[in-house]
Amino acid sequence: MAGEPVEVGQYVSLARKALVNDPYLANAAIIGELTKLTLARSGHAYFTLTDNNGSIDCVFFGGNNSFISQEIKEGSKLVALGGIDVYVKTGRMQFKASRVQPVKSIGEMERIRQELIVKWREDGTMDRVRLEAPLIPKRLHIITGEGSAALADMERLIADRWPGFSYTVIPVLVQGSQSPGEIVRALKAAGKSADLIILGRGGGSPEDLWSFNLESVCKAIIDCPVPVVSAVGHESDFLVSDMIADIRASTPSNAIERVIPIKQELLALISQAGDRVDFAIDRIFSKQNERISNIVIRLSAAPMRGISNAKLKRSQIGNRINSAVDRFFMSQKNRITAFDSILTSTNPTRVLDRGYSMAINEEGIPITSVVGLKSGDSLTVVLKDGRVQTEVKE
Amino acid sequence: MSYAESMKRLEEIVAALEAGGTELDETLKLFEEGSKLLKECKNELTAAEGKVEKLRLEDVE
Repeated sequence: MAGEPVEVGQYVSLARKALVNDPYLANAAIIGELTKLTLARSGHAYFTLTDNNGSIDCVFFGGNNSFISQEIKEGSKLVALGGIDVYVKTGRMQFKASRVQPVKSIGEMERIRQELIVKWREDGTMDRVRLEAPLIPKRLHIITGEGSAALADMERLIADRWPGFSYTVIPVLVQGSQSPGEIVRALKAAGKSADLIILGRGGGSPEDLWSFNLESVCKAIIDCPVPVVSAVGHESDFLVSDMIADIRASTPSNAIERVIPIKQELLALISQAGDRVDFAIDRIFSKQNERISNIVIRLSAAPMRGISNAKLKRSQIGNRINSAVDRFFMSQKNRITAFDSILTSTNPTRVLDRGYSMAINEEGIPITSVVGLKSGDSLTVVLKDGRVQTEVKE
Repeated sequence: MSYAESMKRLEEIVAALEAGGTELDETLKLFEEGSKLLKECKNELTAAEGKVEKLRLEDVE
């Protein structure tokens, strides 16, 4: 239902806002035939891109040089990178280009590819240190075509090797003019959170696979802080992305085989290690046990030898030791008896039995003098048959 | 420690235990460390499991 009427300017402004804020429309590569090219004196280039189904006016501010240096003429096929805009005053929609590129023939594309390879061979990019895939990727990101056969293959193989394995899929266009931009964006996004990235695409014609030969895509792989597996096409396809990626897989399925371990095999390795630990420990302990029982046997044999030695000596020295020992025990016995009688006679309870009493302080120590006592101190008086609590008066 | 590091250390421990000749104290320490690593490795396998996520480019940027 239409609401209150709004002013045209406001309406077009709103429409413009909606369009320029659409991330897809704001950042796109469009392909079409170049017509009505005007290179203005201001340096801006005005042109129209057309195909069988549509047409749009374009502007490339300061873009004259781009057209001149690339020798782009009317009638040629052109890719323009940029975003949509609306000129509110006229309500005219236009594409603001920031880059234009003629669509090249396969021969030209191959020449550019070879140049790229040579450049990266010479500057050492091809020999750069590659990142290693983690043994168990915990945050695997798969960048590939949505609903593609390649994705289906990879998904099936992962489920085979490790049921329940978790990973993330970022669907992108893997061919066409939008493809390079999407792959670059996906690599950048995945580079922030993944610990391993598979960039995959099934087989196709050389043109179909061309995104993976482009400098922008390959540069994004090189710059990615996370290891990237390039898994593009069939066994026989060899793309620049394969040359510069951290890991080259011949096909998407091969990528899975190379980076996703078989869970059962890992479990077997772990339990094997466990068995070996148990076995080694058992052996060490039975060895220790053996040593201990050896020592016990030797120990129990040792005093026996000592005793038989003593016996021998005794027979040699006669009864001298015997009587000396006897004497010693005798004297000890006497001393103990003496102590006992002294203790018995000094036992204070015996004195109490005779009608005396004893005063003790709180610590239970007998009080033998008035020195140190003061009025108010509490004393316990111990009698023959009990204790009384008292207090010092004077 | 990563899974690979844990497994490597475990291999060292098993080798040391199998070679024997360690003091009893050391043996017990190795055994304890080995058991801990085994448990961690098993946990690591479970940690890799979860769900499959699909992210839109617009959502991850």
